[in-house]
Amino acid sequence: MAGISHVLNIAKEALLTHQLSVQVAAHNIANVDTPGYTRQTLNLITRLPTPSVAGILGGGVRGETITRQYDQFMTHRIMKQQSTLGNLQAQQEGMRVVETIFNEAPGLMLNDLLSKFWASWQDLSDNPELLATRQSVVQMGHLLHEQFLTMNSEITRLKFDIGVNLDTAVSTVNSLTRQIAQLNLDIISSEGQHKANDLRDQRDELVKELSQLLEVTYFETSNGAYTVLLSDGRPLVDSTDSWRVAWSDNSLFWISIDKDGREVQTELCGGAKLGGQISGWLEVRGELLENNPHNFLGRLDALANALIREVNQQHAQGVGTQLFGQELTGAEIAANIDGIDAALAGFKYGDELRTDGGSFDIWLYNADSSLRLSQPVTVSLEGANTLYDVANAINDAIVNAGAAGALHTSVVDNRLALTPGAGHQFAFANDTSNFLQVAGLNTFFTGYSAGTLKVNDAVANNLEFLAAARVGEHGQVFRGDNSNALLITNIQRHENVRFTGGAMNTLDGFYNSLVTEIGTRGRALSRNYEHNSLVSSQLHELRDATSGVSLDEEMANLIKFQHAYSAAAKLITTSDEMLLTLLNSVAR
Amino acid sequence: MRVTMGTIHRNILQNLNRITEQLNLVNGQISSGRRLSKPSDNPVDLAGALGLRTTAEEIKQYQRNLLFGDHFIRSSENALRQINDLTVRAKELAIQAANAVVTPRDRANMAMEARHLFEQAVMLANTQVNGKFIFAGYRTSGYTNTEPVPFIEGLDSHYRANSSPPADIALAAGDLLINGIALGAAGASVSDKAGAINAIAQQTGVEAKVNPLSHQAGGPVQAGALGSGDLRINGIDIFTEVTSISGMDSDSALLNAINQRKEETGVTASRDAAGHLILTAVDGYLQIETTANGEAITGLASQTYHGTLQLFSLRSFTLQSTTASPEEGLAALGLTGDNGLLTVHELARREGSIRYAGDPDHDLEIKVGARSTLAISKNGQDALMDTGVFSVLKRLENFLLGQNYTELRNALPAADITRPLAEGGTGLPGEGRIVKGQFTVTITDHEQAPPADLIFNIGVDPEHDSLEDIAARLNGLPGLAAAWDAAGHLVIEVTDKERYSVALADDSSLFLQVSGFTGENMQFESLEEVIAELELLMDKLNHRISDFGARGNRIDAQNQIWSNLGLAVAENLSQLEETDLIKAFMDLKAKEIAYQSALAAAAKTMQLSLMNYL
Repeated sequence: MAGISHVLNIAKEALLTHQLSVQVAAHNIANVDTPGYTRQTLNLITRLPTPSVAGILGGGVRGETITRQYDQFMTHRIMKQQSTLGNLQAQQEGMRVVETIFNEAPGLMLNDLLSKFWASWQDLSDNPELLATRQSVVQMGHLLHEQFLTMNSEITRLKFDIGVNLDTAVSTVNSLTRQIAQLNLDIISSEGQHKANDLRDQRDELVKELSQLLEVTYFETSNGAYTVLLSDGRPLVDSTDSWRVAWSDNSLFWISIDKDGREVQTELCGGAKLGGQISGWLEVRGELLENNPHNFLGRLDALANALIREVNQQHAQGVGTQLFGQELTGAEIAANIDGIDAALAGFKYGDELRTDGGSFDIWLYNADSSLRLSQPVTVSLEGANTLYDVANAINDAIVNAGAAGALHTSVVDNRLALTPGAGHQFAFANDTSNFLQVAGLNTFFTGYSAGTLKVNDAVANNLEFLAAARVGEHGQVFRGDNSNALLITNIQRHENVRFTGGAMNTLDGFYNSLVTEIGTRGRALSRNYEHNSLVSSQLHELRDATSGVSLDEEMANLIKFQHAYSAAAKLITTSDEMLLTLLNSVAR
Repeated sequence: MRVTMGTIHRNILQNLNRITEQLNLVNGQISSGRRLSKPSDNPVDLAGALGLRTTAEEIKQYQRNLLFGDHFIRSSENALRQINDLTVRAKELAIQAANAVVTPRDRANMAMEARHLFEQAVMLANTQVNGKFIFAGYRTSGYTNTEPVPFIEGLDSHYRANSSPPADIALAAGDLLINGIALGAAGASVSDKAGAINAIAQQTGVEAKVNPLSHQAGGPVQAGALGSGDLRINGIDIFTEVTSISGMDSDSALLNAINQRKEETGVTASRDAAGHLILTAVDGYLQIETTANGEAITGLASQTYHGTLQLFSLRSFTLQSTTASPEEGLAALGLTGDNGLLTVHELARREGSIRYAGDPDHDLEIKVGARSTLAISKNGQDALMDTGVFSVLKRLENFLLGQNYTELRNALPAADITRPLAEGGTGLPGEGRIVKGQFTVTITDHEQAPPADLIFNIGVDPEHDSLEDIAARLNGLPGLAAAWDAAGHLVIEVTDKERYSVALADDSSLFLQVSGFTGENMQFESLEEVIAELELLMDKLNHRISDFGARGNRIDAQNQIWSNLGLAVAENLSQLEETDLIKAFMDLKAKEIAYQSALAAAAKTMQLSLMNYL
């Protein structure tokens, strides 16, 4: 039967319970700014009742559990959004750097240099006699070289930097999965009747961090552990086990241990579909990889490649103000292919060769620039497969034309070397085989890509070799001849320039479309990112609506709890008075 | 919905961030003056701007090219105008000189002025603009010690090899290489050989001319009779029936018989005062076959004669004999070399000649549009050499000095040219004064160095010779044509005015005097001729001047087009990439207000807390 002590007991329990409520509120207030913290509340229930005469008498209050105000749906959505945002953020960061590399907006970049390059050729066509105009063409060539080289090395550096980011991100992923597995263990072992609220918050925060890096799905198993899966279903965390990932060659690998205890790396297909920052980085990095004619670097290379080819093909057919009186060595190297020494196909521009029916002319002169032969020596490349074949063809043609000793051709270190005999000079013309361009003879540029484009040393070291003129019909060479320079200026507006990868465009147009695409990509990413961060903040709002700590609310609660506590204390006073009354009456 | 402090905080920050970002953008646009600072600001506009920038740069360059071309064209036009002024002065001189009151001494002084005009013309032809010769095609510079300027005075225009009479041998294909190119097969005659050389002239650049051949009989014509087979010239039997020939061929029966077959034989006959026959083969081939009787009467022995060849080219050239005996290929052309190799690499001096050393094939061009070029010069060959300006001025000087005539015409017209002079009635006053005698014709070949004189004595016998006969004797002499024209004047002219000149002298027959071939008269006639040539020359020069004028106008028009386009491009470009300042300032103001209110609102909102009221 309940007595006054029962009241006292209820009051004591109420005191303790409300004190606990205040403590929970204090915990909330203290963690108002803790990331990932979920507001906790104390669930109050009535204590077990006792029967009394009047019926069942309530036993007071009891704090049952401290629960998190957890919105599982929103949390899931936020994780997904986190992946999207991470992915966009990584891409945006990468693209911002790409944009600065290709930033044509303020001018003074490649577009501008190309214009000035062509303008310098036109200046040359106005005054081919002047060394100054020759100098300015070569200077513009050097500037183009530097610009292409800068862009190429910036791209290489960005690729490296992204690699470092990827290294960090991958090791973060590996550390996160380990931590999540550890937290799983902690949670399983610490949870009995009560949930380990703070550990769970921590674990959610880790999963959130993880999904920022990689898109993951997760679910909770019955023992409270999380299973975390990659978007293609491979596990990263299962209960207390975790798996690692690694990256190389612009792909992500999932590392598992086979039955023999060896590490097995499985490539995860579709870097982009993996989501998160890692795939964002991989995506941008993919645009900077070599040997892909369709990515950014590949298209920059294609531009340089086409520029070199077009200018050289025309330049090689021209003649400078000075004939070649010293040994001339081709700037390009014919690589050995399938055991064939100095194969013509081993040239970087080997595809350009027209050996069927293709030929080029060599004019031979005496030391005083008078003609050695009144006709050019035509060298046919019919059936030539190696540089040695070409050297023989040249030597034979010269002997057959009756000018033995005027020019000797040999192959030195897989390059063609033409050595005029004493008192002889030579010049080139009418190349239908493209051999001169391919072998780098009498060319303006050397190289084949953005990183290798360079002004041919032969021209850079001797401006007289800049071919503004062409050998005339009768072999005459004039200083004022600007016909080749004029033909070279036509390249600027040539609409059917072929680019690696199959595109046809003008040189300018091709580059401008690349810049525009980069701009469009950057713009789309910014918009996407902005949009998604709005979504993200809305999702956070929604989550906070449930899980966030509101100080005002906590204050109000605190007052409520304080009042409840005071009331409970009053209860004790009241029961004390009741007992006193009782005791006094007994003592009397 | 529950709104927590974190939410408010985050929203405030996010919105403030957005506004500051926009503020930064507008500020950047205003301070840099550019609307675009990176490709993603507006990729579409940037693409347009990039295209326009390239176009703007191109237009600027085209305008530079045009400015350069304009300078060039104006200079050329100016030089031609001045040369034209010289020809005007030359014509004045010629008109003044062709007047009997002017003394030879005055004419000599005028010749000095003509000489100055010529030199002035050469100087103008060698005009340089910015160190570039403007009348030299592609060869605007890069001249040598031997060829210091495009127009060189006193040098032969071509490299030449003059042969001696060649050996009577045919050439097989490939016996001779000209500039390394094999010559085709050719017969023994020089015209055949010249034909073979000219057939490959396109490749070798070497052409050949046959020098006419003139052969004088060994002795005077004797009286007798000639029948079939007694005289065959170039395979043609001259006499098909027996014809009697008088001593010294006084009735010209032999002469007329040979000249009648002129079309078939290619050979004309004339006769000197001593009665020697002179046979002239224009194509350089003369094959005489005579019987003993024929030889006795005509003084011609059976023999084949070959004329000489002249090989010439604008560039130095080589001939190489590939025959077994090394000289044979060259000997077939009448040339000698060093062990079968002959290199012609020197230009002969030639008084009054201009060697054009510039580029004769090309005109300088500038780029005036993406696909268009404009010729801004005319090479010296087209602009000046082809007008003949130098030779005309030179001829004026020569004629003023009374030398190197190329066309002669007597002053007094004749009425009848067929009757022998002694019979009278020729219409020439003083015809009776003509006595039996001779005069000499000197034909000078200026293409040989030094110029070679061919001297012929033309006999005049009033008893037998008609005026026509005398003309026939002159006609067909190497490089000379002579005929009485419809008005009754004897016109003697050289076949190639650049090459030959003719002079008449030593008149013992008084024919020249009677017919009016006097010194002053010949000079007047020649001056008349040169006046006509000067008029033609002025026409040609004016044509060229107006051509340059038209091109100058085209440059102006093109420049105008580019200026207009340049303005339009600049405007478009500024719209695309320059900040619209008014709009930007409006934006800035709006953002500023937005930012201030956001800050104020944030400060208020964040202050509010229940705690303040507890």
